[in-house]
Amino acid sequence: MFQLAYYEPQTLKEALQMDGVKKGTGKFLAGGTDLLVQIKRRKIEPQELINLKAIPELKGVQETGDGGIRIGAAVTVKGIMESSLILAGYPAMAQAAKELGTPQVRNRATIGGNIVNASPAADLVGPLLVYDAILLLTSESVQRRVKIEDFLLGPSQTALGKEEVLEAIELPALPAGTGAVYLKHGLRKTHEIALVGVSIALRSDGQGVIEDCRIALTAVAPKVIRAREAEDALKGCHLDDETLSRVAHIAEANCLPISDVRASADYRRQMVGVLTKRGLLSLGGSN
Amino acid sequence: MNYQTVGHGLVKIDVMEKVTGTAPYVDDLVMPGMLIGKVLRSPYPHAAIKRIKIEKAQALNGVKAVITNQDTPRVKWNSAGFPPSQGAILVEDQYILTDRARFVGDGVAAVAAVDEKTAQLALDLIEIEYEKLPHVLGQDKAMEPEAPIIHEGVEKNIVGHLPIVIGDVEQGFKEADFIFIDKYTCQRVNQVSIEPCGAVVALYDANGRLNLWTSTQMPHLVRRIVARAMDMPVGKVRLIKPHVGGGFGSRLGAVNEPIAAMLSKATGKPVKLIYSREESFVGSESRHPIIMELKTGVKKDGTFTARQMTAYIDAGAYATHTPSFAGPVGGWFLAMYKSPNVKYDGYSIYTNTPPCGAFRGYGNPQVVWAVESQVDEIAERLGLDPREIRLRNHPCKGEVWAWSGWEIESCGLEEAIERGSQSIGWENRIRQGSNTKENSNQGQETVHKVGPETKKKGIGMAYMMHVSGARPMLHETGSAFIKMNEDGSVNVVYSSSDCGQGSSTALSQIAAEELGLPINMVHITQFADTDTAPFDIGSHASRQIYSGGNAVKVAAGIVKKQVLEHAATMLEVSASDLAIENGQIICLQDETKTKSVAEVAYNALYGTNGFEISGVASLEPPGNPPVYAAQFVEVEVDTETGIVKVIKVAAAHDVGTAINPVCVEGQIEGAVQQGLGYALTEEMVFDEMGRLQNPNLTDYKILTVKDMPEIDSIVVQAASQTGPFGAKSVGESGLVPTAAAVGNAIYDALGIRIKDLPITPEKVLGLLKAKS
Repeated sequence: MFQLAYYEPQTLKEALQMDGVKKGTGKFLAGGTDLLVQIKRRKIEPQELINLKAIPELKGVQETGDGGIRIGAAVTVKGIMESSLILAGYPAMAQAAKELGTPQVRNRATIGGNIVNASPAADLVGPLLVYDAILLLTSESVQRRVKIEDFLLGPSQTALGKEEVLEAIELPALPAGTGAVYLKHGLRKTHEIALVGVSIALRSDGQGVIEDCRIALTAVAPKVIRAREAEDALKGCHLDDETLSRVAHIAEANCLPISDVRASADYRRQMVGVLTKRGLLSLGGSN
Repeated sequence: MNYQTVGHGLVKIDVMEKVTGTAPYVDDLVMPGMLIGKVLRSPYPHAAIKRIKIEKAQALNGVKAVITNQDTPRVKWNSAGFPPSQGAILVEDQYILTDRARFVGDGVAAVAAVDEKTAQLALDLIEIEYEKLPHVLGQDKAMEPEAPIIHEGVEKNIVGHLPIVIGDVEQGFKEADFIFIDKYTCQRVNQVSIEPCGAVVALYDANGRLNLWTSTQMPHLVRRIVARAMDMPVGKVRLIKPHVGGGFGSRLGAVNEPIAAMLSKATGKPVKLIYSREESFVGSESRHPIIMELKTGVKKDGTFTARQMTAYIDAGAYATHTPSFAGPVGGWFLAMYKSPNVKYDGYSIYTNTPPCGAFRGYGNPQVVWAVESQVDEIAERLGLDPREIRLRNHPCKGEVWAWSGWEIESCGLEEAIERGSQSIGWENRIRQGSNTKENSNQGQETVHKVGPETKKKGIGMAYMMHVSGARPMLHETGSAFIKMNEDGSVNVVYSSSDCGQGSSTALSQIAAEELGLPINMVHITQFADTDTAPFDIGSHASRQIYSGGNAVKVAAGIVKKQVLEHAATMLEVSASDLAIENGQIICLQDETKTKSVAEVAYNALYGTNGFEISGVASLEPPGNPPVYAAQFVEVEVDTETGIVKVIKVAAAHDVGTAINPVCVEGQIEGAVQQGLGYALTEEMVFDEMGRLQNPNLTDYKILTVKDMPEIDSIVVQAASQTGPFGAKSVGESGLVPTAAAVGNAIYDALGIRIKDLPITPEKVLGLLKAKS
């Protein structure tokens, strides 16, 4: 058993100067829906909990002026789900938020936590990948911007420095005509950790030829991944049956699922194909 | 019949307390000086404890007691809740804490400390040297000659073999036109009551009495079990049952009461021991996995010539219920269809997993899953409507029911099948046959087309019979005590637990009806106390209304007689001329001669030769009339993902007279939720080291409100002859036929038959692939 000190800094600067941050013995607390479970199960034993929820820089969803948006890292999943900016511009994010956990979890959990926890099954990460999200990482002395794909290294592993905090997430403006979708697969309609998730952003020209495409696969690799070969195979094609089934197969080959209590690797792989096909079909008319 | 109170969907009497969150449960109880208990559990599936050192834990500030196997009374006991009866085979094979761990989670030590944190820390300080032993999972593997022995002297780990033979099955198979041989299996599932199982406060008081506040379904029988485990006289134990947050069989016996009792005895303080959700998955008993081998001989006309089942039942690491449970398993099997020749063998087998025990249905969900899946296949082969083969072969009113050996009092199956068929639209069902059904949904909502023909619909049905009590397998003494207050209201003192099912409301309605009182003048005990409440064997076997209701009705009859006799004296008329209506004494001969019940009760208490109007009934119920149900299920299967979406369940249940029809519907709907989970998503998954992989509500998948289909609860009321106001039962039956009906609907949709529960998407896709 351990002693746990709790702090509630009011500014980002104050938070970053905490002893627990400097010594690496503390943990930042936002929603706590993963962190507190890990503490309870004694997977981690931090000495300090530093609550970030009072810090203004970490709150709110705003337009950035160049057509994109900035999401504070402590915005809750419910906040993502209901943000008019996100609903209008980045609907796959809102969709993923809506399907995350249960209402109780969505009220508490934050987008920052969902990213930093670095679960291969994190619902919000797939859409962030296909929307090309940039993460704003802040330490006491430096601020840097990192692409989410470079940030995620593996299960529970990220490029977050010891003295850094994830301050915000920036989503760039999307080219006109981009459609996006997040399809989540589970046994139940709610309260699920994704067996498989497929996120797709797609843009085609007036004739239905795919000009650009991003596909992210959730819960089928050590981290949420891009299916680049599948993306490349789509470019310049029409969404006909042949293309759909070819791309679905490539997506299946792009992933590295495991077997666990939730599903077998084979089933997960098969669902990657099914969901990729269904996702593309659902975007077929969105040019 | 027209009743004033019975048959009305009155609001549950405990609703205000429940919805406002003020109803006290065990965890709400706080006592001066109360300590918190915690249990240390084995991390190994099978291991002998070579050494155990508790000094460091004892030395920790705030720790008041550390106990191990060496401190337990030297009696072996059995935790299962049975009245001593012919049908109760109670193998005593456990100590309160073990010196040889037989499953991951087996309790090896316990502590009591000033708070939970200290108790947890103390567990960490207990040092144990284990000698790992070979272990075995799966009842089929445990029976193999080379399997490790889990309990000394129990060969092949078979702790019980229960055979039943009627007629001669070999002769019957010779007479058959067709013989069907199948093997069905089913998984282990947990009750997941909202209040985790295992919640007790124990106080071993200065008078040497053990007081237990515990969340139980059977106060008197658990009192007896704890007395046995603690090696003390029954009378020295007092058990009090606060509100119970769901039972479903999980609290059908002692759970962690003896551990808390030992900790309290060691400290002289009240000790609270509450299991977490994770602990309750392994620290209490779940539903048995059973391997069922079926052999059925049938004539071309669909009548059975011989029926045979061999059941291999996974007991888990301790016997508890299982050797007795093998009896009802055979009972459900042999009694649901008529056949001149029947053979049953039930084997109870130890494995290195948590013990299995009672779960709503008590073996019937498993048996009906196997039998009703096979009967569906038989009907198809014979070209019979699945409803017809059931109607042709079920035991009916006036016939002897093989489960009890008694004549069936009433049968509502025909009406249930008729109304269920109408609700589901059975006539629109296109016979699947062995061909793929291409498009059966004409006239129904259009299938959401994702790809070409990726979703297929199907309809299936299954039937079941169940009990309204435990006779004659068990002695079924039940009691009620009713006393009248000076305002004319009555207290009904009844010991069995309302676990949320609404039985206290229905029993109050029975008392009110019999006494001629409005429902708000009946006050039934919510906290049962074995020091004051008369003996009853508990809330199980769907017996609360038929058996408990019988005791309440008889006691109310005694009270009513006293009211009328005393009123007759006051009014100077004959008691036979008087009746009670809505709290008022009515004289049938003379309208002017009237008194309120309150006046009579007041006069009895405070008049000359004062006495309290009261009555006690303590008796076994008059019979055990079976109930019937037919459930119809419509599914839509996604052939690319294997996901089965249940569109509708039409659950038609013959319950006898529905004392409270709204509560009856609630029982059916809640049970269907559990039945669908059993069919599709729920499963306790163990790894090869016997560790439960999903003791949480994320990965143990009970269906959520968003997953629930439309449920049409159809209440058929074929009144019994012996039950209170014609009541039979509904407590368990709502989930019994659900899995088979789902499986049969999937067969109708896809032409594939899955024989092992749960029906997961991967199994669906696997069979679809094999078929094509």
